[in-house]
Amino acid sequence: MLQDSFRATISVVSCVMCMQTLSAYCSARIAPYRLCLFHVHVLISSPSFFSISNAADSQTWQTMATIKSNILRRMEKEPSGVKLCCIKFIQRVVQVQTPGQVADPRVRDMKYLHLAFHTEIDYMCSDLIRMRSLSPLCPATIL
Amino acid sequence: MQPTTQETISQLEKARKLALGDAAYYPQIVPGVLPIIGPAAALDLRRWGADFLAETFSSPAVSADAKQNMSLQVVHMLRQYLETTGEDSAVIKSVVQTATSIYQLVFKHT
Repeated sequence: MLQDSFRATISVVSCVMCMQTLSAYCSARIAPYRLCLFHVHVLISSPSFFSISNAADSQTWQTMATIKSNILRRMEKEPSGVKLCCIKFIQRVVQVQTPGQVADPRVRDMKYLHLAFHTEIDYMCSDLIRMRSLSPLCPATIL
Repeated sequence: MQPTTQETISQLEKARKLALGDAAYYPQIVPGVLPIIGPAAALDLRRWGADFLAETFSSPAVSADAKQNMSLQVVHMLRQYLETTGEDSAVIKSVVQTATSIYQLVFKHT
């Protein structure tokens, strides 16, 4: 079992190549490769693939964190116009940092995934999709 | 001879109209505008600059990639604005709006 971050790193490098190769196998209807294609699909749909692109750049995030605390401190003393903007900011922070369906619009689409794949994949894959749709926050549980 | 604040604003306004006409100009205009509208600039320039940044990052015409690149250039200036004591309320309002727009971009970047 590989870590999510490691899988994401591998897939960023080779995802396009893999998809091309796998799609050739998929059209030949070879079940294990179709399963593998599904794994790549789940991987690129998972938050770890998209969210962290420059983990080493801590300075930028540190600046943003300073901005965040500065804005939070302003809630008490600023006039109501500025306060309204601060509330909007807090709303965005909560929205962005809430894990799951609220923050990640792609997860919401997962319920339609089985419709798109239904005619193309075998029973085993559709079973995995059902598990995935039941636990959209834990891609690692089925991979 | 240094141009007056009004002259500078009218030039900046021309650049803004250009970007409003074609959003592809934003990535070139924003880095050019930043040194002019810094925390040490005149009040009118700071107000114009903060409004311009809020408008840029809330514009649906600008692509997410372009916004992400620009957000990294802008984030330090937003911090400077917020840390200036006694900063104008209108400037702070636009700066907070900009911070709201770029929060998810910076979160995604790091």
